[in-house]
Amino acid sequence: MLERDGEIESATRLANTLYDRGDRRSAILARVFELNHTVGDASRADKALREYLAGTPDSPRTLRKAAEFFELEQDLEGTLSALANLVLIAPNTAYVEKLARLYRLHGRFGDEMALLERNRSLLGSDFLTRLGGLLAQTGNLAGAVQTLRVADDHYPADQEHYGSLLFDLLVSSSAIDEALRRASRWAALDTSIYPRLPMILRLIESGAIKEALALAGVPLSKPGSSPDAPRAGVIWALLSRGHVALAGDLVEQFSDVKVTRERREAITSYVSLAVARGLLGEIMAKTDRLLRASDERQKKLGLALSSALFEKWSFNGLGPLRAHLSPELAVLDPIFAAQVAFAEKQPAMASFYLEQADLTEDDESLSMLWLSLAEQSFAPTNLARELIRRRSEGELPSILLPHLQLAVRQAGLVMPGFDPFGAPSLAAAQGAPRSMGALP
Amino acid sequence: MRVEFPLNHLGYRLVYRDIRQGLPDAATMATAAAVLTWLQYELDDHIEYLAWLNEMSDQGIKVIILGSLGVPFVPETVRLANRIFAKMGLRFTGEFVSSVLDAKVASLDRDLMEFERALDPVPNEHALVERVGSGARIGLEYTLRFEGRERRSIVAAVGPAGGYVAHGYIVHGDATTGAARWIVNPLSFFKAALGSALFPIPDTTTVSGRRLYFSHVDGDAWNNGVQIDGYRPRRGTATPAAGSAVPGRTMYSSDIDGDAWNNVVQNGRTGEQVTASQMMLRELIEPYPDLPVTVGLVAEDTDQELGGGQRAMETARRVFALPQVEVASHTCTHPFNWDFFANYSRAAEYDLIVENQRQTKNFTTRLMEAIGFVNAAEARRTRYLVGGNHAPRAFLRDPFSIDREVTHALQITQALAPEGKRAALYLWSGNTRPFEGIIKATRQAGVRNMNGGDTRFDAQHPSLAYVAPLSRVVGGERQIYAVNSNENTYTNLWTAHFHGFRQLRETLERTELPRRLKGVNVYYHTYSAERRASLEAVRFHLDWAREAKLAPIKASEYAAIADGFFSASIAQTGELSWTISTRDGLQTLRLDQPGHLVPDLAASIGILGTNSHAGSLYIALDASAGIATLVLKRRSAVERSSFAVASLRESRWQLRHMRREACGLQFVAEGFGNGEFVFDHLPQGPLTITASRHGHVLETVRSQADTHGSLNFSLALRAFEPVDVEIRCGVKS
Repeated sequence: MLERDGEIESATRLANTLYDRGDRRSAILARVFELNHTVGDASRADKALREYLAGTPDSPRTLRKAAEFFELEQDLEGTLSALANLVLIAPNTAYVEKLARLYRLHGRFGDEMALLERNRSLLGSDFLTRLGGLLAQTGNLAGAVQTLRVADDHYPADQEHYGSLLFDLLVSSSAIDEALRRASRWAALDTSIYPRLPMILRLIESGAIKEALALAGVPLSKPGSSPDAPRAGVIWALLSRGHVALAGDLVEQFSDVKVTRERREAITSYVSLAVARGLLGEIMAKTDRLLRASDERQKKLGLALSSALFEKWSFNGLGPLRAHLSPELAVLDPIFAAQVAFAEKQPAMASFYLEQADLTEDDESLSMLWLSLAEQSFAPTNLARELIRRRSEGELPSILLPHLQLAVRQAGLVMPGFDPFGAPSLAAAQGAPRSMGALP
Repeated sequence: MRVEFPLNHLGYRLVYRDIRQGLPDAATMATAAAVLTWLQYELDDHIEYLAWLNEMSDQGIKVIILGSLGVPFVPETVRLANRIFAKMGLRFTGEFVSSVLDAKVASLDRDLMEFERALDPVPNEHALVERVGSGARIGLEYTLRFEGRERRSIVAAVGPAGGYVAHGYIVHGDATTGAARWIVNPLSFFKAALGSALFPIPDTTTVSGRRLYFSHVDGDAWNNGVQIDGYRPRRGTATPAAGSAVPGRTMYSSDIDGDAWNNVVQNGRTGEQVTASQMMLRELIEPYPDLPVTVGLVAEDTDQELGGGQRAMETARRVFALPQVEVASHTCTHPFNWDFFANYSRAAEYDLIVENQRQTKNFTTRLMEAIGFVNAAEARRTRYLVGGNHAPRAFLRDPFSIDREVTHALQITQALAPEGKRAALYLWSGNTRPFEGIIKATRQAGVRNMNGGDTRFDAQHPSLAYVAPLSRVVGGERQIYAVNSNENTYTNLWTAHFHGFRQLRETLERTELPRRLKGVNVYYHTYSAERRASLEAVRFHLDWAREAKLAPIKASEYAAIADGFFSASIAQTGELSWTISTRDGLQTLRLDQPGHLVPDLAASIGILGTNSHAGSLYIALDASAGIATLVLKRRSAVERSSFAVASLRESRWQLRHMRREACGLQFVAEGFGNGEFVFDHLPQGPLTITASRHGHVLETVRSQADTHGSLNFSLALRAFEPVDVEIRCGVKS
């Protein structure tokens, strides 16, 4: 009643009196604890609580209260002990995690591991991963793998994460298929190749070449990204580590029929490095094989290799490969075909091929190469018309816009109201160059 | 930032720079000792950044890299980074160790690592950095297999040009709980990375050779009724409503939106009316004339309409009249969230209140309805007189203005102070994150400012990471942090565990040993006097403080000391000599592990004396010497000198104008409580100590130095005003 009426101090005095007289009923102990804690006599509250705990060691409620009290009173050992007993009697995820965090914070790694092991069924992926790491460091690799598998399986399907340790353990135990399966799933959520690179190299190190190349081919989770983007990045990494042959194998796996800048640059680097390593013969053989293959994808790769050889050593770099560059094949890589035609002093043919070429915004160097060839192959008026045509069809990369303007002037095609960058004008529509369309 | 306090402790000031806004120019870097980076992401202009960093390193500025370099691992960045790493004896490979399965510790320097926590058995993934040459002192190095080869990987090291610690090895942090513990030893790591040259460190923990002490009170709940048995109302009388939303602000109205009542509780037995401020005065201030306390009044707590009035003002007058009390302001309207007031809108303030109160029909509203009060504007004005924690500030009657909040508040406070006593300090309220304009206003008003920081170092906050730095810079202004946390953080924001403030003792112990990190600051609110548990908690610390060997000072004096840390100019004039000037209120220098070096008092100027604590030497400066000169010599050389210079070892009071004479010395002293003094190197034989003021002798003590020349004496008089003290050889009547 005293408590009810807010007479806390009086109630406390009464409870303490009963306690001092030897009354150890649990209700009295509870009141002594609560009231003394409220009025600030922590020492008395502590004593009463411990006596109460001794009488009800298996009460989760009491242990929770005790843990709260010890934490408030800055009694670390009391807190840890209460929580440890609590999770023994009534394990629950929140308290297991809280205790685990405390153990980890205070460097009690043995206790942390024992706790996590005992309560693994309550753990989420983060704590399971932590347990796996601890088990691995104590040499329990089998236990670590088992735990990390569960952790990995529990991660939400769309949550980006990498199980580097699990991967290492699987590869170490020759579970290559599983390693690849899991790594492919992780890689599929990636927007960059860097996290998977160590895994690819690890597979190579363990001799799992096929699997390494397969992992390199998993597309990035990036809107608009070419499926060949990861391979191109991995090729760079392989070349920098001297895995030239493997880089070549990966080149052959480029799957996109569209040629991208990354792919083109990766192939160029591969050819340069391979030749520098004395592998010219292999390059030529590979290119020859690809050029004579039946499917378009391989033919395009052969052309790309040829183009890289041409870039490095000009026409002489092609050697016997020239014989395989039929017009039907050449049209698959018009710019390269134009280069060859130009080298063979066939400007008209070069012009023809240049008109077939697709130019993209992201490959500025290729656009400039095209322009350079076009300037040498087309008459000024034809060049201007070609540029205008591409512009009107929305196929002129923005890097070439200034050159369009210049070409139009040089060709003397300036008309009143003509604005190569602006909206179509009536004057332009009257037998003049077709409408340009608005600038993006 | 967690590194700031360790760097402050080592004697360095930190200047933060957002390099996304541009790199510092040469003028800014002219006096820099180091560039420290702790980046969380890659920079856009990383080549420009690395080129600049190289330039700084080439000029001899140390480079300390914590965590990520902030650049992608491409050949050009690796090359530029290695120009810096090479000077540390390291090589940044541009590779990343993600496989730590085989990692084993190859080298561990426990002086640099495992400061507050053992190494985690599960190594972190990290950038691969290797040793080059022998210039690096390795903190932690692993052996591991990397791409099929055995490699060694360094995650922490210092070298001639700075230092490096990989991400995951700096501070262990728990993202869920916010708990932290240093892994690297920030004190020894930074000291090694910055170069171990000895220089006197401006010290903010010690005065007159003793740990400093000050106490300050935020005047929240000035008018609240106490909740202590014997001071509560009898059953049947009006009682304060329970569960006040405002810490310590127990209102008769049912919640924060009502009118503010003067919650005075009538003690049925004696008829005495007791408010929290009266209880504080009676129990925590008056009984301790030997301990200074700075009391910050919330100006509108004295406003009749807002629950104040004559009683509140009279209590304030009585408090301020006490000689041990320093007058301060704790704002005018007690803002809680200062950001809100940086670009204040009265309309937005009303909207906030209305939004928070939409569902609540409080006592005031019911009263208004009951009496048919229909003027909406008036109703709103009355309703929003007083706010709780979720309001932007406590008192909402008038629109906020910087002038009202600072100048007006100081004027109201000053008016309640006795003649000759000036309001000297402005104590921040609420979230204690004032904006630049208001800090500037306090400076222009001629007062120091303080609060915030919330230093804790105890079982719940078991790390140096929770020890706050000295200040917070806001634009061109500086806010001085309080030294310790107040009772709020010990009582779950004044909702429970009301005796929790007793645990301040642990922070005081941990910030004294194994090294003195902070002074003592007993910082509380008026509402601590509302409840017996919290009252006793404050008393617990006051009782300890009066017996401890401390140097009690005013809170504004501490603020001046902290300001002095940032203004002090220390110029090296010789291999072991320096001049120290423009130091504001700071009058102590510190030398950590000085070895055999001691001040040569005969060659120095403005040095009162020295004292040692935990391996450090504290050098007390004479405040009257605007430019002090410190000359160090080997102890043996000083001892061999036949000229022993009398010096202060420690004192409870502050000393200045010391003049050493042939047989004795004189000085001016002031302080709180009895004067306690220990001097060294005094001549043998009887000594007469005389304390006088304006020529009138107040006390005479006869004593003598011991065989070592040490003299220990006390003066049982009050020195709120300065006293002149003379120590002379012989016996004087």
